[in-house]
Amino acid sequence: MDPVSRLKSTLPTLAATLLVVACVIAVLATGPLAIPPADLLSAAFGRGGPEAELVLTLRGPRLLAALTCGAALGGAGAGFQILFRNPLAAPDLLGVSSGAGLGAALALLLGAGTVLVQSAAFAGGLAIGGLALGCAALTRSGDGRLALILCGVVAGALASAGLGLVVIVAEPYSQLPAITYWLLGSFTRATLAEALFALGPICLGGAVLLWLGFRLDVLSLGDEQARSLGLPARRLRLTALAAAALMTSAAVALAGVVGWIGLLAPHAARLIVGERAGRLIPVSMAIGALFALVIDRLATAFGPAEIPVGLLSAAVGAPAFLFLFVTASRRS
Amino acid sequence: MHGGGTMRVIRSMGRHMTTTRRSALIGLGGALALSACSRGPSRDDAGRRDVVAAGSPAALLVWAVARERLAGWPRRPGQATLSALPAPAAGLPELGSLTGNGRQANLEALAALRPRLIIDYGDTDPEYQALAQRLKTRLGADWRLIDGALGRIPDAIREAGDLLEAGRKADALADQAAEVLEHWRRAPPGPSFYYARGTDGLETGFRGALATEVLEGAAWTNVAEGSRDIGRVTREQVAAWDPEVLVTLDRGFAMAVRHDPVWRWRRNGERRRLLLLPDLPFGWVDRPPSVNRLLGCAWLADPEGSTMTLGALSRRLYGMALVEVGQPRWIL
Repeated sequence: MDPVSRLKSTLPTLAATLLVVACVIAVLATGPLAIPPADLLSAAFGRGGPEAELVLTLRGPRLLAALTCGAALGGAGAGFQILFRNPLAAPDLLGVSSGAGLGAALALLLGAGTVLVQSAAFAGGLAIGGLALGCAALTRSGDGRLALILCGVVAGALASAGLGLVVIVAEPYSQLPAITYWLLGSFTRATLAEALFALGPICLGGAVLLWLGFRLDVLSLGDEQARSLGLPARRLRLTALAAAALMTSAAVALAGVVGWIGLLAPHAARLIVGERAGRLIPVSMAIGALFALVIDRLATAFGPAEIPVGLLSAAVGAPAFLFLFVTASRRS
Repeated sequence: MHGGGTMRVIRSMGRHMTTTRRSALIGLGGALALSACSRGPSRDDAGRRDVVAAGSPAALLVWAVARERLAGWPRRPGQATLSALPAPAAGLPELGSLTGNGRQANLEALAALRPRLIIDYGDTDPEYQALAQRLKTRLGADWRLIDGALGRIPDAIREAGDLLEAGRKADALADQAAEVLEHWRRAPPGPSFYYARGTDGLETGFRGALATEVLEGAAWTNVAEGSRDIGRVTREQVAAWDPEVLVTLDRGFAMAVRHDPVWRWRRNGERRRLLLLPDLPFGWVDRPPSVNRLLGCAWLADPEGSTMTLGALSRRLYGMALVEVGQPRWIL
């Protein structure tokens, strides 16, 4: 590939990344505590006043949480859509979000602190995702995609039932509001340590998906095609799904259930860079991060009370998805 | 509640018991058979336990006025609360709620109890009156809905006393409640505060909320201005409000932030004070919105000199000594 073509191919990723950086600066510079950007810049280099340092301490983790969760859900959504050859596939296809919600709700019911709640959510997401993958592995139906979808639905339904039970028995004046707010999603509660902790599994899952690259494209053509090219289709699919589930679990554990990003970001990315996984996944991650930043900023834009990001992502994501769908259908 | 507020329910209903002690026992047996996870009152008490509370606020009212008549808990309190309360509390079954959130009562099991009276305590707006009428018809029991406004607690106690034939005991408590509220209304202006709920402290009651009524009524200034009753805010918003005091009922939150500069630092460089209010057996300012709030009113009216009043109140409300209830703590 000549340098011009290479530049052209990386241009969308570069543009999306620059857009994210611009949004990061805008988000860092605005908030309830009015601090001049110059003071914030000084604080970033350790020479700011205590108030500027406080603002960085507060906005930094929140920003990091929004970026990592958005990127994780966008990347995982792209992975699922490629693997299932289904534009409606989303990170919750294996019931991971429901499992994470169940884990967090159980921990809140038992009076656990923030770290334990997040750990329980992460474990719950992985357990339900693992249950779906395990059950699908027991079947022998074609290339396994249908079995995965059905087992995902079953595992998710079980987790939802468990969650409903927890909601019913929760104490209505303290536990129930806490569970409800957790499920509706927020980037606010994340501390720097928690955001950095979530970064580990998200980076690992993202790296695996990016490493799989063209193999995912081959898998999307069908198992026989993949085998004819010497690829172990079943193992590769399992690896990719586990990576996507890992990213989703970590994101939901950090921020709660934030829907639509995993569905919307890959569709937007597809319009820009097409179907190839090597480009689709990173651009989906960048768009997911951008979307998460925007909804997080909107969450506190209408007064001191925070609007849950799970609600905003649906309110903004659903019409945006419709717009993308209409645009894509007109193009084709 | 106040100003068409959002205070939770308090209702009651009842029906004259024409049955004998034997039929009451039979009814109770039927209810217990239907309520798999509950433990019934002792045989000796069963004949008198003929009053059902529609929700947790009503249960506390009945417990304070005539605890020997309470047939069960709408929602069984936690083990710590049950251990703190006098012995009969732990033996009462969980009947479920007739109003509000949480596990709903099994109407058939309640009907089998043949309660003489069902009491609801809280909002008396048309919505709750209509609900009371519906349930009264379905259960065929007498129903009484008592106004749960904080300022009308003495009236509520007297009304409950009349209904439960606990005149002298109820009158003594009502007189003390009236005295406490009188002092509470004349309390000198207090500091500005932020009321932190939940394990992360980011759930709060906005100015005028039921949850902060006790503090605001004692001339403490709630910094959280918003159009809702309860909501979530960001840590940056709390820093921007810059309250003098953080008030919480959550010991876990208080311990987590006691050394956290983000929570404890004020914009003038001073250290923010942190007040941990007792939540056993029930909260002093909140959870549930019932007669338990009298303790908060008494303490806020005179933090230094209210020990005698608090001791008498805790005995009358719960049958507990003050030392068992605990005291508010300023966390350094």
